[in-house]
Amino acid sequence: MVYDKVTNSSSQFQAMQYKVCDTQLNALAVNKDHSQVIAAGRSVFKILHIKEDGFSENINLLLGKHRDPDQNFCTNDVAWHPSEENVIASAATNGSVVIWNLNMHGMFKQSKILTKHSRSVSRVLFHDSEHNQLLSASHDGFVMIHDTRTENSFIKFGMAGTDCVKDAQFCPSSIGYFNFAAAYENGCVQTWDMRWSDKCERQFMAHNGPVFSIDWHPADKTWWLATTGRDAMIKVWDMVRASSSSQPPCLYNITNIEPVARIKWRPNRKHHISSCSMSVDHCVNVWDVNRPYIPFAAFDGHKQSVTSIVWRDCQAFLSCDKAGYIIQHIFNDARRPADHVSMTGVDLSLNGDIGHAYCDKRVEQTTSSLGRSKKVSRSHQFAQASSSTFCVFQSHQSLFDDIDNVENNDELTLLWFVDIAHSYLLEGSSLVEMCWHNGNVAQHFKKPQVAQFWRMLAVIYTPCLNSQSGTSLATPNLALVSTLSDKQDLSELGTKPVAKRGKDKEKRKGNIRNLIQVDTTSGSTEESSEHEGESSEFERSAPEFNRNINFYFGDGEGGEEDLDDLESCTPVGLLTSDPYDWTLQRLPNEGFQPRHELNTMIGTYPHLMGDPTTGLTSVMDAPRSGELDVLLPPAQSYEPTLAVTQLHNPEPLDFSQSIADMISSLADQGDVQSAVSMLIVLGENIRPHIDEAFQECWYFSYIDLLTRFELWTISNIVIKQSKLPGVCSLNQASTAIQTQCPKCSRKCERAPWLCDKCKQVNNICSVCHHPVQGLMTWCQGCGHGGHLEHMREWMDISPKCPAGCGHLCEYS
Amino acid sequence: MANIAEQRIKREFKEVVRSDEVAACNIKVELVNDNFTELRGEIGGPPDTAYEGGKFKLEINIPETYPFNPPQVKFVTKIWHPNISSVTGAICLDILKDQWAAAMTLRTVLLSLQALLAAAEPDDPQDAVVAQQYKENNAIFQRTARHWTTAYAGGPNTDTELEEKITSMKNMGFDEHKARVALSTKDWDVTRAAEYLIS
Repeated sequence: MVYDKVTNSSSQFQAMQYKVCDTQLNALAVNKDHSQVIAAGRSVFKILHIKEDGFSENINLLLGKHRDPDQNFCTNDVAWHPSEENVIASAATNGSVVIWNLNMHGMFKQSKILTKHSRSVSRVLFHDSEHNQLLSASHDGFVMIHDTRTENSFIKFGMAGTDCVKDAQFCPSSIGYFNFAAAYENGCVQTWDMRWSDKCERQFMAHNGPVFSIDWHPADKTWWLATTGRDAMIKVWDMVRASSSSQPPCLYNITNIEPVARIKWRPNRKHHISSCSMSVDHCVNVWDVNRPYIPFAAFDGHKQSVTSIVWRDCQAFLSCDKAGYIIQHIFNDARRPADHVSMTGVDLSLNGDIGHAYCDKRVEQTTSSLGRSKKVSRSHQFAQASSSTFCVFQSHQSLFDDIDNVENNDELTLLWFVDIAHSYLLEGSSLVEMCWHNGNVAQHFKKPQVAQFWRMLAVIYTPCLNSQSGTSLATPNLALVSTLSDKQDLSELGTKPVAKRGKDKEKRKGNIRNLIQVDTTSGSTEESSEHEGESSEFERSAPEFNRNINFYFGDGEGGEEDLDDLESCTPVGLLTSDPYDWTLQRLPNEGFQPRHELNTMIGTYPHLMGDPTTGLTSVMDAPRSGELDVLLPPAQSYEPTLAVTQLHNPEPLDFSQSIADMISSLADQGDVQSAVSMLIVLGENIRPHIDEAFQECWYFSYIDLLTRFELWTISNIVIKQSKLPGVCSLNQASTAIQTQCPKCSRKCERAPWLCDKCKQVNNICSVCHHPVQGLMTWCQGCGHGGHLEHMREWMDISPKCPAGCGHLCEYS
Repeated sequence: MANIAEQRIKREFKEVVRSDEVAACNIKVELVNDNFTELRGEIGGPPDTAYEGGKFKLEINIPETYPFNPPQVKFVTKIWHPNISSVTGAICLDILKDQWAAAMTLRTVLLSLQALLAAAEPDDPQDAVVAQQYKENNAIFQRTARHWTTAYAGGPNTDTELEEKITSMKNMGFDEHKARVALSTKDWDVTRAAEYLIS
């Protein structure tokens, strides 16, 4: 696509306009040397001089209120004789073709009036080489070729009673000397040989609706015929390859916004064609046929729709409009609509990746502001565009899952989404169980982060927290007793006594603060440090409890061996002998020190021990001083070791905000599946902590995805479990089904199974004779049926229809 | 009794009671016990047949598996009919056997039986003797059937000739019913009937 190479050089013309009259101009014709132009219309017929700086009126052929009784001056089209300067032909609306001779003396310059047509003539034109051949096309369905030298010599093409001929054009004589094409109101285009008037050479349907204008490509050896019509399309046909019967191949197809009145090829440009539209669009568009949606150039200036276009050369053309103006347009002044379009391209790959290329608008603006004089070539712009930005948005999965080294291509597709959606438990089990299950599911599908999150949720919401929150005091009390005994036992066992008990609180607080700092700097997750904060809060808020507890934190000095030691000194005997669970877990490949976080959890959950490799960042542990003391091997003195006052009945830890943050971050990463599943599983535990608008948005996204994968059942579960009014209403919408009485076909209004008119119950179960209001099944063969259960029972004992119609129904 | 069976029988019972046929005294059904498993039905003999004017009582047992299985129906009233046993009252009717359909009701069953009285099916007999008579000596069959209707179902027509034969058999010391059976079987030939009873 070349912009326009010679634009700068041609400034021999300048844009100008002239108001010829107040009424509509229908046609323009220029003489051979482009010095004069005829402007013709309903009540105007003027010849203007075309000068360099403007138009000037030369002859007005309708002077002196000359009333033409035959309406021979109501001109549809004019043509200037190719060789004789003073001979003009015009097509009148009353069906006559008038030949004017400007050399005639006096006011009356009509030399011949050919009245062979019975209806309005739409087109007149002279043959390029045979200058005495005048073609006229008329609404009476005929195309005629007259010999201008005589009055009565003509050849008639077409048949009476056919559709109006809207346009006719001679082939350029270099291609088909004797050929012309005619366009009809029924949308068909015919080509004729002048020597053979019986039958058209070929005929094809070019448009849906009337064809308004046709134009042969002016270049040699280009058998292109452009046609346009009311269907707002400009089509370019390759007429060489057309046989007489079949449709010629349509090479190009340009879509306009409204019906096109005239088209005209631009001289010396193979792919450019100008068009003007019938009604709303008042500009003249020049199209590049290779770019069918945006005009290559657009010319403004007309205030009414343009009726005719005449090219002077490839840089300038004249056009007239219904307001009586004639305007000379210069290509330099053209508006280039394509320049204002932001270039962008989007495509979707097989694997769901989206490729998006767009042009950086700033770059383009700077280049275009650099100057009109130096236009940037189109190809250059494209080069810029391609260099500017090309992004590939990867699918959903790869975004948040880049830790995974995706091994096979299957995983690039979203199959895993479907599988996970199927596997996740969203209802029907306890919160903790669902969390564990879903964690395993996520692990199975190679989503360690999500799996980890699930497991964290499982641990956090393990019911012991609830028991702490005061619902049952018995458990903590019992636990405390056992802690005491344990502590005694263990402290006897342990070589290190519980020595830190007497430390003053100030120091402890300081230690905690230090630890928090250590935590954050050593790269632990935010949540865990928050948990630290909470526990220190407990300590401060309830100082009256004097039970001591030692927290052990890896302080960043021990390194890997600390952890190993700790793990190695996790004795199985201890675990089995005490009712508390505690685990030491480390996050693999993370840059912070392994650390054992303690929590105020009491309870027996041996299954928590089941998977020590899950890599939980925060581990809840039972508040047991003795055991922890034992944990510290005597040979190694760990500093700082923290003793914290154990709360007798501590407040439950509130992780909700952290969980809400994590769910939000999951959703932000695009993983609505995990986010929504967690919302559902956690239910009331988390719902108040997240903005409902966000939640709704996630729900809708997830439901949308599920629907796209046709997981209707799961999407229904999600809707049902969402508990958000906005989401739940999805299931309440359009649930009404109108039923019709099978006998009278009336709508059943009162009840779906009762026809008010027939006073009869419609869908009666063949077996129990009750109306079916729930699941109904019926035989496709005989139409009898009933309750699903009853039909199943019946078909078990009998192969025949329960209604006794004798049909051998099949139940499957 | 299964819920579905009981519910259905209740509905069907009401249907029969409300039906037009009851109004015309053609069919009737009444409860024997409260749980709808046993019913007693009655059909009128169809007009223009040998059974016209008779009232035939039926015993209807609703099985536990109703409506998946047909109700068990038999004639209580003695009847001379090729498809009904003159001894037990058992009925040979396809809809009460393999052609039973769940869509059928007490009312349709009773009407079917009525239709069976009007159009016997001797090629598929329950009582071979009656069927043979029906096919070979239809006039005697008609007389016999009418006589039985009068004797057992309260029919209006008295056939004095047949009555006399029975009386003569009774005088020989035979039981009336046995005499009637024997005479009917032997085409009202008193001698053969007597031989039949003695042998």
